[in-house]
Amino acid sequence: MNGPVNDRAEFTAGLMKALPSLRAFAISLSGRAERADDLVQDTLMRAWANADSFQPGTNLNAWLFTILRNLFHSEYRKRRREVQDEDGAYAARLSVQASQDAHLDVQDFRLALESLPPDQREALLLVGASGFSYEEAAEICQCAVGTIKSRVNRARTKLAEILSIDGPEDLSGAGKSSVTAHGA
Amino acid sequence: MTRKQSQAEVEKKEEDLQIDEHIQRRIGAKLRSYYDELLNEPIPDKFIELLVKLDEKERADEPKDPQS
Repeated sequence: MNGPVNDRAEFTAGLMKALPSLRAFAISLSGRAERADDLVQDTLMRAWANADSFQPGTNLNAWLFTILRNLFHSEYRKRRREVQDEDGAYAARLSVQASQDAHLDVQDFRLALESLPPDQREALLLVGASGFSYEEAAEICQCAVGTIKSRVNRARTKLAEILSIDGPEDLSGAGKSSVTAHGA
Repeated sequence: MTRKQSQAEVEKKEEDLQIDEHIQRRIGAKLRSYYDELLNEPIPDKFIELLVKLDEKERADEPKDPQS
């Protein structure tokens, strides 16, 4: 009986492969590196414990993201009332780490992203960054496809507003010159 | 007046939901460069160690295969 063992090996390999994207999702969802790592760890443990309920051949990443997302939301609800100072310290550490070789652009973007409501942020992250379809994202978030679409749109609109993106390319990259461009 | 205003608001909302393609593309590019950085961060060893440990435990618990 090599079947289950091989399945398990394949499953483990799948988890390994999913690690970077799981962690990226966890960090961008929670905004806090340390919490994100706890989330990833809990996700791995839970995935392992429930490996039998995963259907080989289906989308392992979507399955894992669902677990991580559910853990995040249950923890988020629990933690909401608790002290914020330690979270602040994590956030500070994360931002130092992230800014080491990041452009200011990326920093601004991160802050803008963090200001979005969690449901909009996660929808945008799933569809715009993690490469899931609207349908997959809807399954992960256990909501309707239309809900995901509208959350993604709201998220984009809000980001455009915060980052003052209101047209095609920002050619110079240094401020707007649309007024002077027209001349007198 | 109020009626006209609320109608404008509705239109504004619909407009917001159909955001400009250029804007969408620029937001998308920013999102990806932000996210790529996260994807490229080194994975903490503890995750690999955890998976290896779980895997070893699983193998130990597996009923012995008479063929091996």
